Amino acid sequence: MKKKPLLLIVDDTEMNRAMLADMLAADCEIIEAGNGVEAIEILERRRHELSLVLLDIVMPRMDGFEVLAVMNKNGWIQQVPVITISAETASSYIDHAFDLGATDYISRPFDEKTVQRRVRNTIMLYSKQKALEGMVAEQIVEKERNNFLMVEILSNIVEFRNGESGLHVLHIRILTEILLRKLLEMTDRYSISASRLALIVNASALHDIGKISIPEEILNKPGRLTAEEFEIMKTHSAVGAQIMENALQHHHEALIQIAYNICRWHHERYDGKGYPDGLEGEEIPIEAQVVALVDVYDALTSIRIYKPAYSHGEAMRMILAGECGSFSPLLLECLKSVGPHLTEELKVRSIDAVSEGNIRELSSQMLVDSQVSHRTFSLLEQERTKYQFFASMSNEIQFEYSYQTDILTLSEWGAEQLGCGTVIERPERNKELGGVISGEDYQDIKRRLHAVSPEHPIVSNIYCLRVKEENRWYKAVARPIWDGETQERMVSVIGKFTDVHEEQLRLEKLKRQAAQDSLTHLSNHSAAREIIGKRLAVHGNQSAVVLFDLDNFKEANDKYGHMFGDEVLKHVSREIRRSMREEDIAARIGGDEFLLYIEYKGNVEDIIRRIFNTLHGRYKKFEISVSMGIALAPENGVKYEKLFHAADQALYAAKKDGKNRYCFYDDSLEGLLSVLSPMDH
Amino acid sequence: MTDTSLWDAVKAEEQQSQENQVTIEECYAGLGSSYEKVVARLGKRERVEKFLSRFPADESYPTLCGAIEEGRGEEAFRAAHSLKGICMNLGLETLYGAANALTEALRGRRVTGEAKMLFAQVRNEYDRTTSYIGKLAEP
Repeated sequence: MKKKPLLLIVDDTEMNRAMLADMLAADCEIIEAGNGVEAIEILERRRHELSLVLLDIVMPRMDGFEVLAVMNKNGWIQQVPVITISAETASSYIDHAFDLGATDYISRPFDEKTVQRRVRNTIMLYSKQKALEGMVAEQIVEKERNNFLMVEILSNIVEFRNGESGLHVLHIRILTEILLRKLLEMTDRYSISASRLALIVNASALHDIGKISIPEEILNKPGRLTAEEFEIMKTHSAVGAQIMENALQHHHEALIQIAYNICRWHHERYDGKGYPDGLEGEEIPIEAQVVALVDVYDALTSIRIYKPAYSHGEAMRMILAGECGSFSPLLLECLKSVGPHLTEELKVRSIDAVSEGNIRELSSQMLVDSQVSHRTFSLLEQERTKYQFFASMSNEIQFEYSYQTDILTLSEWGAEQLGCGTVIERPERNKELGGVISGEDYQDIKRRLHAVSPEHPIVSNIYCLRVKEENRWYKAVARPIWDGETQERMVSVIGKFTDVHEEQLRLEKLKRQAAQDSLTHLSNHSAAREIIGKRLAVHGNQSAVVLFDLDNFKEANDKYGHMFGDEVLKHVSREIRRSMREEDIAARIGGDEFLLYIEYKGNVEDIIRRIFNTLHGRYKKFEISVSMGIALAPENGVKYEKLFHAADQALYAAKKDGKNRYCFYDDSLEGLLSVLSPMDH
Repeated sequence: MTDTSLWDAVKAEEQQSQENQVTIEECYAGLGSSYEKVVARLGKRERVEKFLSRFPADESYPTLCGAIEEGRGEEAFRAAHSLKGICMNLGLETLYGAANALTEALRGRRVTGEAKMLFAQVRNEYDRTTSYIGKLAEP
């Protein structure tokens, strides 16, 4: 039998409550309150069970209007509908009740039919609305379930901000899967179904989602974190868990629950010395234990801004020696047992898994040399037919190159895409092909293929192809095939180009956003350092590293508020962008501190003076002036760090000399204090 | 007096009281209302009988008396208001009229001379109503 809806009748006259209850008892469960205070007490405890409140207006202690006001203040009025009852028919009374969120009213004298109809309608209306809300939530869940793109984008954002390679999340997924499978093989202590395993693998990608709340200066700090910074860094697990908990409020999904466990507890350690909760042993959910271990493994074997990449062997030694905290002995056994294959698995599986299987199958067929039997040959033909069939459906440009004949063969679909023939002799000198792929890129693939070994045969890179008068990004995956017996001579190359244009644009955009300061849209410091470092290494031109900050900026903030301060910074950024050439680099590196990198010929002081002068001006009420320090390459150094430090000291000198001026670095400044990082260096 | 005459007297008294009993229709008619109308509104005869018989026990009237006597305007207003509501529900129209007038007089939450006058009318009408209800035959 369907449960009857629960009704609260609030009226100070016992007889009125009894009469209403008598009229409604057939359809509803009823509880009663004799005044507003009692009603509020009941609402506090049982509002989630209530389908409706019938509320009298004139009552002692707390009247009906006051009850409505409390319900509004607490947001209960959206959860429970209210019908007011009153002998007052004055419209001002009724209007006031409606204004306070009442759904309907019943006037005295009670009429059985009216009372029953109003109550029934109101309950129905609300439960329909509730059901609708439920359906919408359900649809959102469904969407998100299918939308792992979202998971991917979120983890991408974290990685780019993190300055990690972009492979970390993928590695965590792969390693989590490998380790979990091994674990299930070794013990039946944990009952993990196949579908739960898949969920854990997906959720593992979100383990560091909380890092979106960590300031970039801390995330990307090259050196050791201070104790204080480390405390901030540690909050990422609780923040990640909070994000998942918020999601759980709306829909209870197994994926999100698992992600919660992983986010919150992937820095716990088996001996209870981890954070944030200091859980111990099997108190830590197994999914969090696994992710904790693979996170450590991948961090050790990958390059980070603060450390080089350790070898697999070294990483294993450190983990087993407990240098990265303690883990479940059973999990460590699992890691040891899968250890020998991990490096290779990571490499192989990081490339698109499906096509990889394809390639492996193909290559085994390709290994045949000229002395094939008739039977082998016909099998090979069959395989080729199959291969061509799949190739025709896969929307990939597949190719095969033979060293012996110097002929490149394209899949039919691929040739059509590129507007070339399927058979291209001497591809290196072919004009059609030259129009599709640049000579530089062609040589790049060639160089990469020559560098591989049979142990690590696969190369992969992103190239821009010109296809049908349009530049598009493609991912190339290829491998050479060696001479069957000796494995010394490359006989051919097989591979494919996959259109990744849309993905690439999306990633480029994320990268750009990650590299930009959100307020000024200039580069951030870490992005600028990377580009400048590369330029310095390659070009060998004369160049200047310029640091400047706004004089009296603190005053602008203090006097007119931070919003105004932000406006000033935006204004200055616009001026910088206006006055710089396309090849110059500008970055905001701290509060009001900016960095410029300029390659120049001729008199540098003219250039500096021009920039210095453009930056002066007035923004609304604020007079803008700057102090500037300049270091020159190669005169003051050729490495970024050195030049940055020199410019920093020159800036300090400019400030000391009374601000509103520029100052070139010279050796006499050495040993001066620094403006930007008075504690470090 | 013989045993027989005592017995007769008891019987006579019983008969007298039975003659004084009224039906619920007569009760409503005597109070200036229509029983059928009330039944139509409240849905069931038993419901009307049940709540009408409970009317004399309702707290509103005694509260009203105390509040008027001691000049507590706020309480007097609420009690008059409650009494008016109950009368409305039970279809006791004459008493409702009196209670309504009193409620309006008390809306300022002060027991004025006018309110005391109107209260006297309520008292008369209440006594008449309860005595009618008292004469109702046991269901």
